[in-house]
Amino acid sequence: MRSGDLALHHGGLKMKKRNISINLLIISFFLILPGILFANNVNNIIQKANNMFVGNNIYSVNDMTIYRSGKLNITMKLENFFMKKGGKSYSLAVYKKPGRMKGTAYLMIENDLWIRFSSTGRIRKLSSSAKKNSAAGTDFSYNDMGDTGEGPISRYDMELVDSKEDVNGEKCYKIICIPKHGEEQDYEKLEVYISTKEYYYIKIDYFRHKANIKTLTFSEYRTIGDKIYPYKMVMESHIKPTKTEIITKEIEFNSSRVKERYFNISYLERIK
Amino acid sequence: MKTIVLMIIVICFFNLPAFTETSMSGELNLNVAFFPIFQYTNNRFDGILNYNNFQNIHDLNFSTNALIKYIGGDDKIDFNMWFYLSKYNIVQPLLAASYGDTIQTAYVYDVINSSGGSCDKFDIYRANIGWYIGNNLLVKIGRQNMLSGYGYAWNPSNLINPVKNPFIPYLEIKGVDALSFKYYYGNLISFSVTSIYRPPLIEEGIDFEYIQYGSRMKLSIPEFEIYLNGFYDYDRNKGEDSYVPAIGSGTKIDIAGVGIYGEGALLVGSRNVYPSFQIVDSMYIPVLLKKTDEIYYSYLIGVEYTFGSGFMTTMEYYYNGEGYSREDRENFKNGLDYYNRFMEYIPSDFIMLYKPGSFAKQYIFVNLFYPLYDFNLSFNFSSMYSIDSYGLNLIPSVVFEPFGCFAITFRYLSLLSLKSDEYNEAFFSPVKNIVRIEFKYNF
Repeated sequence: MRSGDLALHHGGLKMKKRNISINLLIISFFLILPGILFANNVNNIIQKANNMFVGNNIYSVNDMTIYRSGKLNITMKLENFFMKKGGKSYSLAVYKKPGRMKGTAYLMIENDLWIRFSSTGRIRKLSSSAKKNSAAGTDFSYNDMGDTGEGPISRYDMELVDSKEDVNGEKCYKIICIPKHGEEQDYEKLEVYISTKEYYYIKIDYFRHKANIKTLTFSEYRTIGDKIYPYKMVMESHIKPTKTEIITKEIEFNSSRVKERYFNISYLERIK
Repeated sequence: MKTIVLMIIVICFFNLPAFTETSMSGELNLNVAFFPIFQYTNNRFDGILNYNNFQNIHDLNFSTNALIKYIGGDDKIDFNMWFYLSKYNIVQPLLAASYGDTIQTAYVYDVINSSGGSCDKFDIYRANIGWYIGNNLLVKIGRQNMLSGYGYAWNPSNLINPVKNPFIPYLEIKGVDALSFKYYYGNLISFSVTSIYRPPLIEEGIDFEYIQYGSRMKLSIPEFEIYLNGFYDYDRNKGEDSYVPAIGSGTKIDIAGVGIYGEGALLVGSRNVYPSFQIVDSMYIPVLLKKTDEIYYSYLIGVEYTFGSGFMTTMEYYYNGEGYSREDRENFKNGLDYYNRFMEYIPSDFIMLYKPGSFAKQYIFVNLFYPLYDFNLSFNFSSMYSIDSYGLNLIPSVVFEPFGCFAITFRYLSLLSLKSDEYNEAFFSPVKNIVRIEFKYNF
């Protein structure tokens, strides 16, 4: 081989290497692009769904009914307040009915939970182990109750796995949610179904120990201001014959009825 | 002070509904107690603390009480009034008052027989008005709750409120007449100062010597809380009342879901009186001693955890510095023997030394709770063991709530003495086994 040929050969090799590098880059880009698009897409989907759902300074009055083995067991009336400020979420739930629960209240500020006992008026901060458990015998845990206003999956990382999942005749995005890295959550996985047409939450399956332990379904969406809110939510347990139904009687976003001083232990003392 | 409290009640009751939202709620309780005793004799309930069954214990005992709450308010002001109606055992105080007068005693027995040994009692548990100034300051006057502390059965750092019953710690307690100022800096810090008025029962009018002062500062950060209490008794006749200068503190922390808490208090003198005796003409005469010069301390350490199944457990160790040593408990026993033998009645202030759950110096408490929501049931098991007096109390209970406003509780209390001659709670109690059925209606 002549030196010129060698130079050409080397130049050719260099050109070949460059072509391969560029090709690899292009191929990598197209491999990553769906992920980027999907990541952006799932964020967009969630954002659209949450826009209709969540807000700040939310006031609501709900009837919470527990069914056991298909029979109505008890209906409780709750008044709820939610606020997000300075990156922290605050929620207060006050029981109005039945008589034995009237005046019982839960105040959640991030991971801290205080309970006001109606019988004595005393306020007690619960240990974090208590928050995973049933709130007043319902299928919602205290943590579940505290997520209102932020959306049910605010503390999870999300991945879109399907865009044509059929749920009760409704085409849905299926999104898998796992706890954010380094954060401990009550559930090891959530499977979220959001309608492709209106971006409504349709249902959420909750998983623990690899089993679907309960499902939350959303229905009776109604327009309220610029939001569309599910006035009926049902949490059905798959490990016992119970379900808990929340019917929203009244809801206000950016409500003047939500005041910052409500999310204070001092306010718990004056709940009636 | 009673006049002022009554004035607050009248003002609130008749005027505030015109200005604020008010509501009335409460609970009605009917309790049935049965005392299984296996040797069914005529004097089966007689005992060292129940001479001739003056406590009027029957095989089946009924008791009723009602707690009515009238509350109301708005953003700026609120008021609370709680009325408690119950039965009061009048046997002992009437017999004590008529002691030595046979004619009077005969009348007393007529009253006891016609009334069944009890009369209706009306108590005001709360009567207060609170003003909210801005978002941070609360001023409250009247009878109010001052109970503090993290402990489930005991609260040694509770320096102001009457002591709760460790066997029924969730029960309402009568409040304290006070003027309090509370300042809240968000949820981070709270600070309060309180002026408490606690006169002798009979007197009217206010004397400054009966005013006591308390303060409390609390710091709350995520998963950690700590507070400091202080109490000062301006009393020219130091030790005449049962409250002494003291400081208290408590803390609670959450580690891996386990709540760990502790509280304690240092007191200048004891709030208790101690049984002792004098020898007069070779006679043993019981007396009560007030110890005001020594420093006392009490503390509690507890843990609580809730499992995923809803099963909740609480364990506490309590050192009761004001409790009775074995010598004190023996003096108490000897004093009761004296009164039973020579006077046939026991003075009320001597009987009141018997405080189950706070009688000795060291206790361990374990509480297990399990809700069975599917069947509207919950199970609770409490056990209280006195390390220094070898007394053991076992209290299993089941609560059934068939409706939202109605609950039935089946409770069994067993008092056991694991060692003789220790003069513990079981030794003095006229009944060692109690079965209670409690019906509660909330409205």
